[in-house]
Amino acid sequence: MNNKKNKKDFEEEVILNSLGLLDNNEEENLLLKMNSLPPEEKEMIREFNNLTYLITQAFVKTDKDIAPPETIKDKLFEKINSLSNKNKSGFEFVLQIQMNGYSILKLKGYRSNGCR
Amino acid sequence: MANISGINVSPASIARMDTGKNLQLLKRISEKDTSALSEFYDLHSKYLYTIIYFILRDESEAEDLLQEVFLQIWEKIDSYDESLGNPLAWISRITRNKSIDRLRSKSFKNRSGETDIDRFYDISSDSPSSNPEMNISMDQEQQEVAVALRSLNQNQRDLIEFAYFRGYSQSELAEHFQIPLGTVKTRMRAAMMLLRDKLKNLAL
Repeated sequence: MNNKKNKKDFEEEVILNSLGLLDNNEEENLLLKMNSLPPEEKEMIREFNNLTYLITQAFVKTDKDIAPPETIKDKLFEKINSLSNKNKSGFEFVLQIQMNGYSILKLKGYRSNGCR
Repeated sequence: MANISGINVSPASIARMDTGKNLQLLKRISEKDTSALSEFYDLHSKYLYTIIYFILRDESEAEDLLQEVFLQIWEKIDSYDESLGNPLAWISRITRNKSIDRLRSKSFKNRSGETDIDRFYDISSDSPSSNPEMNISMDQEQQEVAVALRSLNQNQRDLIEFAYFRGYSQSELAEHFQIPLGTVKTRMRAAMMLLRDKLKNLAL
């Protein structure tokens, strides 16, 4: 009985999540437990996410695809190129903590020139 | 069964082929291959732009948001988990969520645009996708999904539309439709379970 109720509650949570109806906290909770979920529960999430995609397609796709202006792609790649150039102009830092001669913590990071 | 060059191919297998191609592209995008992103853009930008436009009804907002969606795909590719949905489900969700965020921020919620499945379902679309195999698959899929959606009652369809495409929260739905919060959940659940049963064959 309890298992049935749990299954129903989880099903409801997954359905509401697939439709974007969980609030931020609820969504975060679902994300947190995602890694520990049994395969069948992950499968349920996958099914409802894919189902929502099919619904989206039925509502939207057939409304005659509207082509975005061609300039959008150029603008997008300009942004991407400028992002990667920005990253290239940064520098890498390494934080290493040693104890008794042994490295116990080594953190590698990247800081772009744009960061404060 | 779809017939491509005289060979019968089931919609599900075409969909799988398509998923395989998309997964390959996403893998290359995760390796920061811009040509893969370019190909991915060519395949899906029309569809994603249409989702954004469907929700916002504003061309300049849609153009701006489309770039944001692809930037997010480029930057957050590592957050894609194949076990939680196919690539198109992932990018559709990113697109929907960004559109709804924009809708909320612009207080577009009370705009007058009306949507209903009969108006938006049009099998004789004269703007086919650039991938003919995908068109056959899409048409059949859409037909099946539209039939399944029509099997829901109007209340259930309205709830899905207002939640997913207009961004209403559970309590806003309850208020708008003047039903208890528990009824919102029950109706949503019943609708989605029914759709899942009817569409199980579509590679769910």
